[in-house]
Amino acid sequence: MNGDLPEVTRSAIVRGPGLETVMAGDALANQRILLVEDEFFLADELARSLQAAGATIVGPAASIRNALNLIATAGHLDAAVLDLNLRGETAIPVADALLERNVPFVFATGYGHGFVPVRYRHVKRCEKPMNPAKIVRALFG
Amino acid sequence: MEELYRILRTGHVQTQGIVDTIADPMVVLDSSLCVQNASRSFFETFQVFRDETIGQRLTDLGNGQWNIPELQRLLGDVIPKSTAVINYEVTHDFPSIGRRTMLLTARTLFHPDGASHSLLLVFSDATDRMARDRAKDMLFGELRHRMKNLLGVVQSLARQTPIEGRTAEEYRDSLLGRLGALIDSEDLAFAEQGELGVEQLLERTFAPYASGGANTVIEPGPPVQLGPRTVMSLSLVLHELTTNAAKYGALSDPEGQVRVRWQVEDGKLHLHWAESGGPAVSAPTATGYGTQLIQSTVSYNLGGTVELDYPQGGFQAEIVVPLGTASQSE
Repeated sequence: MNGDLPEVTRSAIVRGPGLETVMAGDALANQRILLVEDEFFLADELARSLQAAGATIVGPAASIRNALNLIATAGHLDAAVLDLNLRGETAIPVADALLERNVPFVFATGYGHGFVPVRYRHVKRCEKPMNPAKIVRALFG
Repeated sequence: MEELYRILRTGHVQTQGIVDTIADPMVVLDSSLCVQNASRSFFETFQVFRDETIGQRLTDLGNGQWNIPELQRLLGDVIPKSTAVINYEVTHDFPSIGRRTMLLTARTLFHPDGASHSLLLVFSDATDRMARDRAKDMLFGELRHRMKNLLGVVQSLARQTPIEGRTAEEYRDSLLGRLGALIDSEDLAFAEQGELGVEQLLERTFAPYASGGANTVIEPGPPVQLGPRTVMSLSLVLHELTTNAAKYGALSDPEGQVRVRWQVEDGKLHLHWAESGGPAVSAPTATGYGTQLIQSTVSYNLGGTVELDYPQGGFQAEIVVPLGTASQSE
């Protein structure tokens, strides 16, 4: 789907909901970010926001299979945003694959998807729909 | 003397009557925590007999079912320091009635002689109410999440609905049409179980165009249950197909017709859309947002496939959606 997204000018300033979403156009320059999210509109919206801040989006992937496939084949990843619940399945196998490759990530959560294994308790969570600036802060501090 | 006895007796009967009318279980304890009296609802609620209760120490009652550390702390520690305790929460596994959460309200009654006192203890079973509160909190949380998700979708639609070469009015109408499809799907998602099917969705989508004629035809098909998420995606897709037909296709001509049929094969919903009798059709040269929306929604959200065909006689679409995903809720 990446190819479907139009080119977004790098100097664009993203104005989403709230004041905190204003990001400089180069805040994420050269960052390759994997998106794993099963709702197209939310994935699309987030992808555009991160692209506008200079990031290269890998994905988005809507299923565990696609996500694992991208992690295995898409080359270097700087970070990932991972929806905890993908079409009713837990995305923990994807988290495992990211951990193995030392790729930092945040969980995107919906209500009632609270269960996370102990080893991932420290991972930051962003409630959906996600605020791009918050994700950037959670990932890159 | 007889008169006095009569009054005392009446007083006793009245007191017992008052105690028995209280809906919540209640006991009267003396200063050594022995049960002096108990209300009828106490015996009913805790399934104990009167004879085995009166005169016993509260902690010895019913095989020690009241031997609760929290309760002992309340009686031994909290109550002597205050004249009243209100809604002190105690959760305990009772042998006969299972795990309950009780709210205890207690009050010390000083006798006129000043030498002794009694203790009134009322138990209010809050188990069911607390379970209802928890269920309500969960529902509230789900709704909140759902609302946020929905606004996320709206945000995306507002940003992606094209503006190039259109007036503000055209943009607004186009966006409002898509929001209408979202609203319809929300209505359907909250409809009674069993009413959330393909047919209902099609009827809603066609409602603005059903002018009494035969321009929209829904062929009878097997009942298919759809999850709220699938309803949202399909509603948007059908809206795009319908508005497209109204603008350029069969629904732009009074003689035109849209015919929809569906079946289930190998756990997949096959939805077939066929237009006829409209203006001559040619394949579009560029992919518009509407087409992108149809394709992304079906493939990305529903894990299905969509084929759009442009034979001259009328536009056709074949949508295939796995029902394993389709019938699943968020």
